[in-house]
Amino acid sequence: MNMSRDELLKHLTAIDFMLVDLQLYLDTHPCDQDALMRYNAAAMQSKMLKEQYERLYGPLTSFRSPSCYPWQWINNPWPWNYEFNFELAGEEC
Amino acid sequence: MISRRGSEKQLPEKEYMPYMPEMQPMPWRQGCLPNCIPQETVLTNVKLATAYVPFQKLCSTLSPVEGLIKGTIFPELVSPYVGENKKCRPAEYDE
Repeated sequence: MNMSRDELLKHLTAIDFMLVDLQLYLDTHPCDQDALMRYNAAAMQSKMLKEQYERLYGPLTSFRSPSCYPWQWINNPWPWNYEFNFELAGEEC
Repeated sequence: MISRRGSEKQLPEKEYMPYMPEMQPMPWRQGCLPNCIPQETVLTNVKLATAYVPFQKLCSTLSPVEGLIKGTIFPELVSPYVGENKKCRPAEYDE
């Protein structure tokens, strides 16, 4: 799988959003096996995408993210900068 | 009453294992189950000043990117804001 930085970040963001939504569902449906299976599959995929992203483009957070030398976190853009984020332009409903 | 700490019974050590019996690469690609949308139900004989929320049943899930765009991964919860359709209506009463 070869994705651009924006594509990779978009997929990671989307899968993390899915995790949040499934978590909310599981909070009220803790015995739903189908939902739990989807949650675990998404959690695994999120981990994979995050590792892939950080290997290619540097740390996503200032902690719990590995960094190559020299320390990458100080590099621009930071995640809250506009340029850091992908566009969903034209895709919103 | 026996305190738990003093009890001889030991809980078996649970092995940590995420629940993924037959993991499919993209479980959200499955189609909708029949009759899972809409899930709204008619409520009768309800108490005043009590809120009722129908219990959601898992139907299928949208793809992650589609979910991000629509604001929910559950097709039964997709509810885009359409101003004109949400105008204040007088309450309708049964006879």
